[in-house]
Order: sequence, then C-alpha cells, then structure tokens
Amino acid sequence: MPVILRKLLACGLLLWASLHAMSGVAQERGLQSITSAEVARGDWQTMRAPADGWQPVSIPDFINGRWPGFDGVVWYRLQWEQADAEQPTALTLEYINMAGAVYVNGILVGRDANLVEPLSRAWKTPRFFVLEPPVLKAGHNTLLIRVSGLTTYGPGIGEVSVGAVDAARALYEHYLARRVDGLRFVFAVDATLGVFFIMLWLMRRREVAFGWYGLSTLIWLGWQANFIVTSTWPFASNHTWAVINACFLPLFAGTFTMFVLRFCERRWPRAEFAMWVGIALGIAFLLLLPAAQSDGYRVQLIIASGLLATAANVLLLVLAWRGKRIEPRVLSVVALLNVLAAVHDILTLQRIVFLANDYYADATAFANTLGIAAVLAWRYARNLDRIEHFNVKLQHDVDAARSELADNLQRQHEVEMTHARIGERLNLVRDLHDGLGGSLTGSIAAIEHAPQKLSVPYLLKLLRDLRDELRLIVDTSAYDPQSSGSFGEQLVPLRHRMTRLLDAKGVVCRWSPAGLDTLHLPSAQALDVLRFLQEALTNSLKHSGATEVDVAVQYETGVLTVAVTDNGSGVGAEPSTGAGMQSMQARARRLGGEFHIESAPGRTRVAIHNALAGRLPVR
Amino acid sequence: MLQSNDDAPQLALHPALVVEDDPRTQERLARILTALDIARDGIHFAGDLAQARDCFDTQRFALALVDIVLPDGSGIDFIQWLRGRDADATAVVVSTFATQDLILAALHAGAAGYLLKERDDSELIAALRSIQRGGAPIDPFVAKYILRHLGMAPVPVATPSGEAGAGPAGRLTRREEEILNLVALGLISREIAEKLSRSTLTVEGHIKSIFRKLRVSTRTQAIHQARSLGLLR
Repeated sequence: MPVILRKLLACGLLLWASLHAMSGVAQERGLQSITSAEVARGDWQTMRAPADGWQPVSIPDFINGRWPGFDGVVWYRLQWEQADAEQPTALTLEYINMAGAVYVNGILVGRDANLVEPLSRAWKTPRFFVLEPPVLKAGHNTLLIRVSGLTTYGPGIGEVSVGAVDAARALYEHYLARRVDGLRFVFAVDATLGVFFIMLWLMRRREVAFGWYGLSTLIWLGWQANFIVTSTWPFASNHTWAVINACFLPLFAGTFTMFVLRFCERRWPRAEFAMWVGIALGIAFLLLLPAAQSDGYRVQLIIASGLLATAANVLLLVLAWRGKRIEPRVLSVVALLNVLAAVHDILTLQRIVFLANDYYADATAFANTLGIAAVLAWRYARNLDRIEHFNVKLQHDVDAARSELADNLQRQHEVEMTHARIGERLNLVRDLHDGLGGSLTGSIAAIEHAPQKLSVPYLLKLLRDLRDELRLIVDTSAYDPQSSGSFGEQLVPLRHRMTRLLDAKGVVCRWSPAGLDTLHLPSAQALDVLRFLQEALTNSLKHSGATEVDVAVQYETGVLTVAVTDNGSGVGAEPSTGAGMQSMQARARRLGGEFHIESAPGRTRVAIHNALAGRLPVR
Repeated sequence: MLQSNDDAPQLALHPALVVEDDPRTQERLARILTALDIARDGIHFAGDLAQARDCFDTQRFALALVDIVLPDGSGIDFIQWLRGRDADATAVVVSTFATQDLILAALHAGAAGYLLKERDDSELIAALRSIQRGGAPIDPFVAKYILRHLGMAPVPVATPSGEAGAGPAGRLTRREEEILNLVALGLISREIAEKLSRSTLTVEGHIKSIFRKLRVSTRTQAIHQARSLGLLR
C-alpha cells in the first residue's frame, strides 16, 4: 500500500502546484496594468455613462464592498496613455461580473448578449479585444466598462491590461485556462467518473458506498454548473438559477456524508434520518422564501452545506484512522485537502479572508474523485489477485482430490485383486478336495476292499489317474490375467497334451471344437468336462488299439455336446474300463447331460448329450 | 543347428550329458535316452554345474538334459554358458518346476525345449524324438506369450510366400505368427502341418526359428529382456 499512498501524494502535490501556478502568475508580460479607475452607478436601461457621481477606485474592484446588496449597473472609467496608435495593441479583461459592455473612446468594442435579466452568466469569462485606429488613439485613451451586477455573485471587474497583442493574448489565454477550461475539464472528468461509479453500483448493488459516491459526484456537478454555464436557461432569472443551484449543495453534502459512512462501514440510521430531514427542510425553506429574503438565507444554506461536507471529511479522517482498513486512510488524505479547501472557500465567500475570487472546493473535489478512483482500482486489483490465488488453490485442491481418488481406485483395485486371488485359491482348494481328494479316497477304498487285486498295473493305473487329476486341476487353475477364461482356453492344455500323447503312439486325433469361446464354465463343471475327455481319450489310447480318434466339443444355444469316437476294438473287453465308464457316467449326470455309449468293433463312441441345458445364461 | 525341410537327416543326440543331481532321475533319463537309440556308453552324468562344465571341457556333447535347480546354481545359467561355448549343442531343460517365468527364461537363454519330470516316459520320449527330428516342442502358453510380446507387428521383409525370411532378432513373419496362433489353440505340429499343407518338419523348423528370435546373447541381456517383457520385477 505505501506505493499507492506515495502516488496519491504525488497527485496531490501536482494538483497543488498547478493551482499555485494558476493563481500566482505575475502580470509582468510587458503589458500595462491599469490599477486605478473611477466608478459611478448607472441604471439597467441606460447605455450611456452617467455624467457625475464618479469616485476613484482601484482595480480589481468588488462592488459589494462599497455598495452592499447592490443589484444593478455600475460604470468604470479607466484611462491610459498610448504612445503609438499604429502599434498593434490589445486589451485584456480578467472578468466582468456578471455581464457587461466595453467602450473604448466612446466606441462599443464588445458586449454580452443579455445586459438585463436574465443576465448572461459571463462572470467567469475573460475578454480580449484588439484595438486599432480610429478606435485607438495616440496619447490619451478612455476605457468605459458597463457592468450589470448581481450582489449574489460578488459583482465587479478583474484585472485590466493593455499592451502588445501577443502578450495580451497570452494573458487572455492564461485567464481562460484558469477560469474556464480548467473548470470544464474537471467537470467532464467528474461527470465521467460519477457515471462510472453509478454504473458500478447498478451492476453490483452491494457496493453501496460507490453508489453514494457516484450520486454525490453527479449532484456536485449540478452545483459546479454555476461556474460553467453561460446562460440562465432553463430558468427565467439569475435569482431562480441561483436558488435551484444552491439546492444541489446540501444534497451533495448529504450524499457525500452517506458515502463516508458507508465507505467506513458505518450505519447510523437516526443521524442519517435527521440529516436528510434537515436537508429537505433547508431546501424546502429556500424554495418557499420570497425572492427578497431568500438571498441571505441561500448563502447560509451554502455555508451550512459546506460545513456538513467538511464535517463528513473530518468524520472520514477520524473513522479512517480509528479503523484498520487501508482504503479509508488513503481517502482521508484527500479528505484533509477537502477540509482545507472548504475552510478557504467559506472564508472567501464571506470575505473574511480574501486572497482571490477563486474557490478550491472544485479542485479538491477532483482530488476526491482521483482518490476514490485509486481506492476502486486498488480494490479491483486486490480482488483479481484474490481470484487468481483462489484459482491456484482450487487447482491445487482439484489435483489433491484427483490423486486421492486415484489412490482410492488403486486401493479398491488391490482389494478386488486380493478378493479375486482368495476366490481363486478357494476354487483351487475345492477342486483339490473334490477331485484329487475324491480320487484318493476312492483309491484307498478300492485297495482296502480288494487287497487281493493289488497288481502292479492296477496300482500304476491308480497313481496315474491321481496324477492326471492333479494335472487337470493345475491346467484349469493356471492364472493368466490376459486370458478370457473361456472354456475354449481351458481346453487347450488338455487338447495339446492328449494329442501329443496319441500322436506319439501313432494315433491320429482330430478335434472339432465349436462355440467354446463364448462358453464360461464354473471350474467344477469345466473340470468335469475335462475329466470326461481325459478318461475317454485314455481309454482310446490304452485299451482300444484305435488308430484314429475324433473329438467333438460343441456348444450351441446353451447346450454342450461332448463326443469321443474311435475306430478301436470297443469297450468292455477289459474289466478296468468298467470303473472308467461309471465315472464318466457320473460326470455326465453332474453336467445335467445324458451319457451315451455305442460300442462295436471299429467304432466306439462315448458322449454326453444335452449337457448344461438351461443351466447357464447364454452369453 | 540343423534346419532342414528334408525328411531323412536326424539331429544327433549323442553323446548326451545329463545334468541332474538326483540319482533316480538320472537313471530314468538314461532309460529314456536309451529308448531314443542312444547307446548307454554315450550317456554321461553330471551332479552339479561344475561337473557339467568339466564334462564339456573334456568332451563335446550333442545333447544336454539340464535340471533347473542344481546344488551349485541354476540350470538356466548353464544353458547360457553352454550357448556361448558350443552353439551346436542342444540343451533341453528337464525340470519339476513349470512356472511360466522359468520356462520363458530358459527359452530366452537358448533351451531347445522344456520338459517336465511329471510327464510319462512316453511323453518325454515323444518330445525328445521331436527334437531329434529337428523340431521343437512348444507349449500353447509359450506360443501365446510369444505372440503377445514378439508378434505385435509382422515383419514387412517377409518373403512373398510368407516363408521365414526375417533376420534372427527380428519380429515374427506372418507364417510364424499363423503357426503360433494354431499352437496357442492347442494344435500339435502334425495338425498344423496338415492345416497348412506343409510337412511337419517345415512347421517345426519355423518353431525353431521363432525360438531363436527369443534368444539373446548374454545373461544380462536375458535379464533385461525378461524384465522388459514383464517377466521379472
């Protein structure tokens, strides 16, 4: 914030310097300044200077000092010596308050549009006249200035200078800049910013302080119009104009006070109500008073308004330095300028202290506007910063939430994997128990009940059966994360192993699988199908002496068909195949199918028909 | 190494070295080799890797049956060592363990086959016979693995007929990929040969060529390869 403070201070210094430059310019431009003259009262209708009643006076002159409360026409007579009439010469008048006509050597050289009410409001306007023969004479020249004055406006004339045209024009332009252009410039800037603040408030009603400020600025412009406009339009007289104009000042003071309170985040409903009632009464009183009595009251109302606005500035100073916020403190610097300007203006208005017929309130009001603009800009920038930080924080939070979510998903995935692994293990245990365990129990029972049958081939067969069972369980349990888990894939190891075995024995084995990629079986059922095939193929290999085996495993419309056909000698020749047949039959039953066997020399077919019918959802 | 599409020539499997620490298994493997018409005096035994290396120092062997877990190291290391020493010797793993990682590591190291002790003698004999004929026994899951990791893009330099023509370290040719797909379905070489109207020897020659593409020259490379293929972590 110190940067802002420094900038504001720089602005204030600049303003002060420019004000000083305006008021402090010396007239030493090689011009002749006419400082002594004679004055006489005239009347509204006569355009000829009075013959007598002249009294000496010094220029610039204020009529109120001599004839208080005077509304009327006054003539000034000024003399100067012109060495050479042929030399280009010009006359510069600082101002004629309020309107006037100018005569040189009895010849009219310029006049305002309305010299009677409604008077032209030319009181701020400097004049510039180029003089040459025959108007200008060598030697003694007389300048007559007819002034139509209204006591309200402090009638009189400003500095009068005669001399070289260029120097006189430069002086005229200096007057113009100080008395007219500067005011118009400030007026335009204030108008722009006032409208801006009003718009800001319209878009964002929470910014009540800015709303009051915009309103007070626009009302202030109503008061400032006093120094800008050059006709009384739309009013019939300067009196009405002055009354209406004066109404703006208490309104300004009121709205400005409201701004100060809201800006410092204060709400004093009773005091505010009382203030507005006072303002309303003051304005109503001014409007209702007869014209003759209203003038003095009007000035009092203006002073009261000035005091109220000054009080508001003092309040701003106090509240700003009592509170902790930066913004009111920034503005309080400007408020101090306002207070000083108001004191000066009131003293000037009352002619208690008179430095020049200039009022500073408009200039410091401009500083006010700059200050509030700085505050607004600072608040805007700070909010943008906050939004940007918020965005960064938001991004950070989003990232954090995202990574947390990813972690959760990862954990969830791990849990699912663990569950899957546990499920796999349970399946494996169950398969071992049901399959290998069952076979072991069966083998133990067989050996216990028929110990006399214990030949080496018989024992070898029992052990091989157990090993084959184990192999099937291992094959179906092999964990391949990229496998589809279809029965077609589960069949592959058995197919490969059996085909190779048969091939080694010179048996040609032909497989015709169909539809198995869409078949997904619970592991127990998959094992039953595989055991059936293993049993049937082992029979073909070991006992039938076949040379060709056809294996059909087909799944269609929810029905599985398994068939093994060979060209061997047929079953039943050996007693050991009997147990095999029984177990195949049992597996067919468990699969919900029908066991078929056709056996004849040269063609033996064992099959399960209609397995799984209606047991699995068709995928 | 023999790579022939003719019927007649057989790969010599003797003299053979059995690298195996269990005497009973030594005896069983000797019986199996005898069944392949290898004279008993052409069969030598080594109980550990050191002995095996000594054997190769004194004599040349056509075939080495190598166990994986040996008292002084891994059979896979030995196969690696052997390949660097004698490129013509055929190394076949005969192991109790059949994890996919081990099998693939052995194939990367240069094994011509991976046999399981649990199998019937007749199965082992059949597999060795296939090697003898110039073939290469291959499991469906190995085929699936190779397809997944080596066959992602067929080699464009394949000859117009699609026959093997790519360099040893290249990707699979279209024909090789076709054969691997059939193996992965569980078909054996004879079935594949019938399906493709080629001889069994041709098919097995392709499979051997596929195996060669799996091979790498050093152990470091083997580890790197296995790691890059996601086998080791």
